[in-house]
Amino acid sequence: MTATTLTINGEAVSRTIEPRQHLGDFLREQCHLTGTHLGCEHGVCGACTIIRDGRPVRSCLTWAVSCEGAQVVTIEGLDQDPVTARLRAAFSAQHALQCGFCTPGMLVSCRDIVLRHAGRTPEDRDIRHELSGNLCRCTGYDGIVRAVKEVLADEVFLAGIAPARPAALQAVSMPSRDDMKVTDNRQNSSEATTASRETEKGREITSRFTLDHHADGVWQALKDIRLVVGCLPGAELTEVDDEGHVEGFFHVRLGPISAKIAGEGEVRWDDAQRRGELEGRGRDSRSDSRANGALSFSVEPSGANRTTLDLALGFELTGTLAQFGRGGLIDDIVGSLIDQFRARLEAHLDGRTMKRASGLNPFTLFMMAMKRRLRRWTQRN
Amino acid sequence: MKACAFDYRRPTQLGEVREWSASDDVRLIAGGQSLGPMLNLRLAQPETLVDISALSPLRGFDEQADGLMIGSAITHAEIEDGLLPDVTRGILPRIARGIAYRAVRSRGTIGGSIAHGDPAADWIASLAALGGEVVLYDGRRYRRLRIADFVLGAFQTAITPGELITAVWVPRVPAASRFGYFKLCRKAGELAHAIGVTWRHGESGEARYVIAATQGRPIVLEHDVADDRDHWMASLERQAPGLDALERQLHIDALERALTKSETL
Amino acid sequence: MTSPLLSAAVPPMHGVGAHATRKEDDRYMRGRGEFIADIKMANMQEVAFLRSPVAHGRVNSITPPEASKANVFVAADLVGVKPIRAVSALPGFKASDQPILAADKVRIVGELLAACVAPDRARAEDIAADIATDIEPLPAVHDMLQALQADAPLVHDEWGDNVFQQTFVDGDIESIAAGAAVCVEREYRTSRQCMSPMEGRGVVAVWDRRLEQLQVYTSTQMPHIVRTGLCESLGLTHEQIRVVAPDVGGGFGYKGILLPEEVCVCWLAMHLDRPMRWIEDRREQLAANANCREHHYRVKAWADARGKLLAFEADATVDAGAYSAYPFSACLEAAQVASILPGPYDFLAYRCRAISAATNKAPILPYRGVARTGVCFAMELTLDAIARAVGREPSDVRLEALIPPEAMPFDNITHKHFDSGDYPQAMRRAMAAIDLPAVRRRQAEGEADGRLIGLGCAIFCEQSAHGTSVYAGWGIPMVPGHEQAVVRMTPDGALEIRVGIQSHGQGLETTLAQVGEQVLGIDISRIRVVHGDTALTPYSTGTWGSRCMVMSGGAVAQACRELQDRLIDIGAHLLEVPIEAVTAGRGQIATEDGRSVSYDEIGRVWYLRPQALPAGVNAAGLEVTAGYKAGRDSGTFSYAAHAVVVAVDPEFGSTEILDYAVVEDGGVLINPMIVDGQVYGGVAQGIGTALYEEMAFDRNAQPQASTLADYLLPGATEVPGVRIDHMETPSPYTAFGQKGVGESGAIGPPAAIVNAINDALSPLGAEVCQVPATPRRVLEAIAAARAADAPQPVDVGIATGASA
Repeated sequence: MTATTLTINGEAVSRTIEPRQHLGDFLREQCHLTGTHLGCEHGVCGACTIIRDGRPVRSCLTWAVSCEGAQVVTIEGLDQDPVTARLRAAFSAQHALQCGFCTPGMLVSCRDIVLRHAGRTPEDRDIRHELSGNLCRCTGYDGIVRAVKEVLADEVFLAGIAPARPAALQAVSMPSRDDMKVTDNRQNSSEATTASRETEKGREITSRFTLDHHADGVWQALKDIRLVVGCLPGAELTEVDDEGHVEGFFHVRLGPISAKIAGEGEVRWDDAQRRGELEGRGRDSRSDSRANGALSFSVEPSGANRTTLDLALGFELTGTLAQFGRGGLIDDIVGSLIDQFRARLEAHLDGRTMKRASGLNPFTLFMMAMKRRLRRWTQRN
Repeated sequence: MKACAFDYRRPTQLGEVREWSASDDVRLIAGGQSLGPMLNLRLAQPETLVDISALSPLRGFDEQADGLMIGSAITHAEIEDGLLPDVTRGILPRIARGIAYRAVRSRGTIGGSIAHGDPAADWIASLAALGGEVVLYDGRRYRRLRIADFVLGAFQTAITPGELITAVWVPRVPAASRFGYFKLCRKAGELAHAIGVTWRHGESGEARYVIAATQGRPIVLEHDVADDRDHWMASLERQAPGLDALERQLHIDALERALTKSETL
Repeated sequence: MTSPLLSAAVPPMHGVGAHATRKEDDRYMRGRGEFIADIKMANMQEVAFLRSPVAHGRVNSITPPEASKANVFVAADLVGVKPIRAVSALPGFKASDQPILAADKVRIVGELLAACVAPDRARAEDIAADIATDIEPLPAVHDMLQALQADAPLVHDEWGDNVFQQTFVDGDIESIAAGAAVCVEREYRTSRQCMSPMEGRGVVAVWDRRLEQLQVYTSTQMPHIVRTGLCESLGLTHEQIRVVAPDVGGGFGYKGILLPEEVCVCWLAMHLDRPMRWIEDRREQLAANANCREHHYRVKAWADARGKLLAFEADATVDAGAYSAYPFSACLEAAQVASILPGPYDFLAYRCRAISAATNKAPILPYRGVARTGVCFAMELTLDAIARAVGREPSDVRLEALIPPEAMPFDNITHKHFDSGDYPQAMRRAMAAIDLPAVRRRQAEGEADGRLIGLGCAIFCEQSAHGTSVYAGWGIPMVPGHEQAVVRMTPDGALEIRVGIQSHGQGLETTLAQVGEQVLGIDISRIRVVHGDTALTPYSTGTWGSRCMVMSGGAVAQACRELQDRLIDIGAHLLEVPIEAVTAGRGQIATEDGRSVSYDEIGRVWYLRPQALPAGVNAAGLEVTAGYKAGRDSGTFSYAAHAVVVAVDPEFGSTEILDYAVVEDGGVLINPMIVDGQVYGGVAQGIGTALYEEMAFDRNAQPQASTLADYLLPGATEVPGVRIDHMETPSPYTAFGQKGVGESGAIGPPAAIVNAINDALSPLGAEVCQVPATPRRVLEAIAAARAADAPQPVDVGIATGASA
């Protein structure tokens, strides 16, 4: 709990607030100001829009504890506000509301539009762009656009209104660029050939690359399950039996999202074909998501001391983590995983040891890329 | 849809950030417009949030002869509203206006957006083309690197635990530059499905083209820029293998559209 | 029984036909509406549900941690609570039991596994996150066509297949087809949507110890039906339950259901004897409740050389989800498809098979327009295909087969009774509004930016205010037919109107007051409409099927007329003249020579000075309950013609709407402003269906969107300004000639817009046959046409699960 003092609709409010409570919930549940509505709680719908320090903000994406010293105004605080009153008249005349649920947030945004556009006659297109952060499911926006235009056309009314004047920013002296270390990190594309596709079993990402080692050695290394898992960043073995049954964790990160998948699997090797497969399934209890996956690898000599390694990582998610439209981002993460797997395997084969990272640490990834580059560079020279 | 419990800290000095943020389970938060949804959805479950939005060194700007240092906690709306010296001939306010929605721009910050490393982020794509840099501070030393190099992949950046972005460097855009920006969205405010950016200096011929929103790091074409679709396609195929044929086509078309629509500034 | 004194006394600024601003606006605009999440009670607990992460699975165990055992409730705890059953009387219907909390099997992602109770929602979610579950995933039915294949997994093991019900309409196609000049064949698909009212569902329940009654506040369109359903599941009697719908933030059909959540929260309130609240969040809504619009059609149509439609054959499938939702059932939509597919066309032969397929998805609910949006899409795209085949204007081809005005009233090929209207005129006016010749000229000239211009149209009818016979045939748990209203004059001469329907955006607090104003001449500022409360209002099936203005409006008019007779009786007595010598209106009873007595005075006399009443006064007083039952219960048929111009970017596949015109005929308009609002809003939702909204599912029936960043709702930039033109052909069967018109706007846009896209793409030989017509689908259609070098509708068979 964090002690916080802020001003709400002109009144000072001091409370101890649970940090995880967003401002929308704080206003509604602690202050009984239920005019601010929650429509999505992820910043898209705009129903919860309120005014913070003179600017419209999403109360669902504002932590109440972060409002120390802030001036917060909700729809209840706009009861006597002249611009809002003028907008209310226009909203009613133009039938700019039906169920009324989006209306408080809509009015807060429209007030901001009026204040910033007073004295101008924006095109319908510009008004619609300004309104794009407030969803309405009833009106088709027609009445809302007309209401905003009605108020912006009311010159007599606007003459008495002070336009929005945002607070100026301060020029400060910042450290000189010349004194800073330059991290030159021109990226080269990976030497691996990576591709991804939808299969009957879900998403599959394949990668082919060459190692400067004899195929026998590579195959022997891949037959060591502890080594294989150890090369997979974020993977951790807790049990291995003689039958090839394994249990453990797989810790994956996607930016601020992290999942720790607890699971089990089986490893199979085919010495004749020099192919292997680690098939597993697990669950991330934090997100109640499940993953099934298989990492298959096959080894083929491509020269006296060169080996081509084909990796395929197929996976399928169910549960919360599967229920997003940006699944393609996962490809990039898996691609990085494969890069790291390969780098670690190479390090092992070279007789080097590498620091074990817990999870897909971007820094580790960066260091890998640097080392790879450096090595290529030295080889070239 | 309520966030998991977390601790909240608000350092008052830049130097405090490091001591509070060196652990894995800490997230820095500025405007919180990208992290907020992930917290509410419980996709992100940090133990501690360190709020850097009010740190005064991050809230200012420093205009220099060859460009502008923008404090990382400057918001998109402040840039949109023209509260910074214009060193880019109007590019920055124009880009800002296209980010999400006004109420999101009120809080979302330029530094936070870049630190988030979303492949579809407008600042990453546009500043990569303009040759922008991020300035990182670890409590002891500053370092800088090009935005194109800072973003390593989807939500992956070169930032290390304990570091924060203090400023974003935007080089002064010279006269007679041509700049084009095109992002493909199905609706206003949506994250882009493809972004194309072109920048070319009329006199020196120096140029940088960017293909972004590839689901991975932005693809920057520079020394070998050629207005040649086959060349672009080859780079895209190599660097964004996750895209299918149709998506690749859209990205190339987006770059071409940016070039066609580019204007001399 | 119409009073001879009616309308003439009322100026056009008042009553029926007035552009009255809404009585309900002010409270919403000041943040003073009271929505379900605004209701708080002392000692209240919040509920969060643990939901199934898999679409189909066997539940082996649900284990809460020791510390929160007392706060977690599972199926075994709900002793005596019955599952939800919505059985249809249609032959062959297979019933499903929808569990309140899943016991042995889950059949949908998001199905309820456990209820978690805590002082606030965040803590309730913490508890849910700590519950250990062991669910063994089973193969899922992710698509309706896959569901019908022989080797498909079974949603309900005991059924033997995945068919809720199928409906046949047969006709002699072959003899007509033999003589037809043209035959077109197409396959169409409409995607699954989430209706997405801005406010989600929610319920607050408390056991009132004094009244010995369960008080249920719920965000519903049908409080009385919810009460009946709760009685069945909870084993209570009706008088033991009061259901109140507070301000409801949009419905569109999403809140026309008895929810397992409602049953569970009520049980918790009784079991724990304290107030309980559950508020649906947007992720719950999207991931667990995308529940409408998913149709598939295989269509064959025959026409003569001018394109006049002769015969139509369809094989339709509706994805009905895993359970039969209460009260509309799993077969309402498919059964309607077969009967309404002919639309406003008169042709010779028709055959249709419509299947309600069970899948591992949310139970289907009727969404604004119900089956009509899909049906209109299938019919109107086919008419455009015919027009292209014969080389004529699509609007001209329609004129060949539309029911002519002189045929009204008209019984069509499926025995639908069209009450009135001039459909060809609507089509012609739509073409005039969009300026057909100008669009064709622009198309011929080409665009500087390389985009392709297309013009599309659609015409359709909206049967509304259905009566008993239609619904009795489906035999679902709720059969409408009549509607009552209570009107009461207060001692100060104001009017209270009590109705069992529920207003959630339609403005019924205003329009029903306008009806009262029309009959009694009382200003709407002095009329209060009370709705949404089973304790205060007569029983009603609620707000759905665009029925309120016809049914409730008819009941209010009738009750007001009866009240007026009583006012005349008392007024004439007070004026000491016979009742023949007075007139009623403008809030008073008056004599010809200018003497009058106000309603205020009559109210005071009735309630406070009964000594002044006439001797034989009607002791029922100034409160009247009256009802409305249509002379013909076949419903009203409003209709509209939509015309749209789009620009399609062939590089990106994106579509911009350049112009949109609607010609609407909703009969006599009670409040034209509100009718326009219904059309604007409906068209915006139709644009969502046409271009943006889609819940894709992967092969495990996992929904591929759970936020509004993935599930795209149209915003102000995606919806164009719409031009509306009205025709007002009265219905011969209703109180004022009004027709239901709430859904019409949402029916036409997918057909009109995709027709426009296909018109734009016609130089490339490409055709889109699926909504939403996403950029990807448009580009795939173009690519397919290029590959085939011939018109090639893209395959819209079994969904692959890939999100477009």
